[in-house]
Amino acid sequence: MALWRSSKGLQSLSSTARRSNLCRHCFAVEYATAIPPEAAQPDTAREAEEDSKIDREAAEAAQKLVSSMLRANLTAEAASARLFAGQSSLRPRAEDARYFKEKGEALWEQVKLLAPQHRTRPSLLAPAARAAAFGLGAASACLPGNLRATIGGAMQDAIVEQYNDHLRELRQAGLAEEMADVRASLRDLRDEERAPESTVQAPDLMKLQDVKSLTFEEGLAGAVKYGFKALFSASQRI
Amino acid sequence: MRRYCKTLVESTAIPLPRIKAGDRGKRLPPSVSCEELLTEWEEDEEQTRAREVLLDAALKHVMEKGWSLDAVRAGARDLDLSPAIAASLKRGAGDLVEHFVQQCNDQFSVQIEERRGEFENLRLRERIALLVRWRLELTAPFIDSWPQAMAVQALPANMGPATRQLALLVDDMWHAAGDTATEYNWYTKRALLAGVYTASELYMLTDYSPGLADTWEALDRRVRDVMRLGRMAGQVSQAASQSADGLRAFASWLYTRTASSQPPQYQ
Repeated sequence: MALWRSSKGLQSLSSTARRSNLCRHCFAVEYATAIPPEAAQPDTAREAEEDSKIDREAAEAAQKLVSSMLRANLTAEAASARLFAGQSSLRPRAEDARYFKEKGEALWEQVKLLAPQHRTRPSLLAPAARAAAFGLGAASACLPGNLRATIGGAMQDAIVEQYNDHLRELRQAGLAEEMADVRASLRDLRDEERAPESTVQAPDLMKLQDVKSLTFEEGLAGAVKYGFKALFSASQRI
Repeated sequence: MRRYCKTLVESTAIPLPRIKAGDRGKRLPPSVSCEELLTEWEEDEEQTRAREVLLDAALKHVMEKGWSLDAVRAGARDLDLSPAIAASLKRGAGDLVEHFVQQCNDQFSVQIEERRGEFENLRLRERIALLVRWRLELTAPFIDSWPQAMAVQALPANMGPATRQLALLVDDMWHAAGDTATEYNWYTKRALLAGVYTASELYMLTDYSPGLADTWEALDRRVRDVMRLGRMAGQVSQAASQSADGLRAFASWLYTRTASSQPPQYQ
C-alpha cells in the first residue's frame, strides 16, 4: 500500500496503461514488479494493525447480518406458534391445531437458543406480529377447513421463503463457511413442517399480474403470505 | 485478465484493494476502478487515523484544560500541527469525550475477555456489580473533570452518540453476564442497567472515600433493588398469565355447557 501512495504518477499510469492496452490495475501491477524490492518495503506493523482492524470490522458486519436474520426468524416462529394458538383457543378439541401449536412453540424455542449466541435483540414489531397472528388464527377457527388450511399454508410459505432468502444472503456475503453452524440450523428450521397440507398455493408474480383471475382462496393465501412476509422483513430492521 | 492479475499480485506480494465487509455483494459502478476505490479507502483510513492521533494527544491535556477545544489545540501543538485543526472536529469537545468513552469501552471489552475467570462463578447480581465497577474504574483517572464531560454529553448534538455508546456498553455487560433474554425483558434489563450505571457514575463524582468504597456499596444496593424489581415483575406477569388461563378454561367450560344444553335438531 505504501507503494501506491508513494508513486506520484498515478495519473500518468492511467494514460500509459491505455497506450499499452492493459487495464489500469494490471498495468500498475506490472509497473510495480519493475521496482526493486528494497524500494517497496511494506510497513509491516501498520499493515498488521490495518489487517486486524479490517478483520474486526468484517467480524462485526457478519455478526450484525446474522443477528438481524435471527431477529426476523424469532418474529416468524413466534407468529407461526401464535397462529395455531389462536385456532386452538376456539377449537380446543382440534388435534391438528394443538399439534401445530406445540410444534411451533418447539421451533420458537430452538431459535430462542440461537439468538443470544449471536447477540440478537428481539424485534420491536414482535408483539404486533404475535397479536396479528393470534387474531388471524382465532378468526380462521370460524372458517371452513380448506380456508383454515390455506391460511396455515400461506404462513408456512412466508417463513420458508424467508429462510431461503437468509441462506442465499449468507452465501452471497461470503459467510457460508464461517457461519456453517448457523446455515445448518436455518436449513433444519426451514425443512420443518409448520402447517397442514393446503391444496391452494399463494399466487406468484406471474399470477399476480392478472388479479381478477384469482380465486378467493388464492387471494386469501396471497394476502396472508405477502402481508406476513412484509412484517417479517420489517422486523429484521426494527 | 483477472486470473493474470491475481497470479502476478501473489507473486509480487502486493496487496489487492481491500473491500470492507459492508461492501460485500455490492457491484462497483462502471466508472470506479480498483485504483480509485483503494485511493478513497486509503484517504478515509488516513483521516480516521489522523483524527484518533489528534484526540489521543488532546487527552493528555484534559486534566489542565478540561474537556474543551483548548485541550485539542494543545494536542495539535504537541503534534506540530496548526491549532486550527481543532475546527475539523464537527462536534468539538463532544468528539473528544466520545473518543475517550469509546477507548474505555474497547478497553472494557478486552478486560472482560482477559478476566472472565474472575466473575464466571459469581451469582448474577455480583457479576453485574463487578462489571459495572470495572467500567467505572476506567473513568476514575478523569473523575475531577468528569462532570464537565457529562455536561458536554448532555448537549443535544452529543446526546445521540452518548446514548448509543451507553446502549452498546450495557449490552456488552449483559452479554458477559450470560443473559439469554429474547423478549421484551431484553429491553427492560438493559434500560435498568443503564439507569444503575448512570446513577453510580453520578454518585462517584462526589465520593471522597478511600478507593471509592462508598460508590461500590451504593452500586451493590442499586443492583440488589433492580434484581428485586425484576423478580416482582416476573411474579406479576406469572399471576396475570395464570388468571388468563383460568378465564380461558372457564369460557371454554361455559361454551361446552351452552352447546350441550341446546336440544338436538332432527331433520
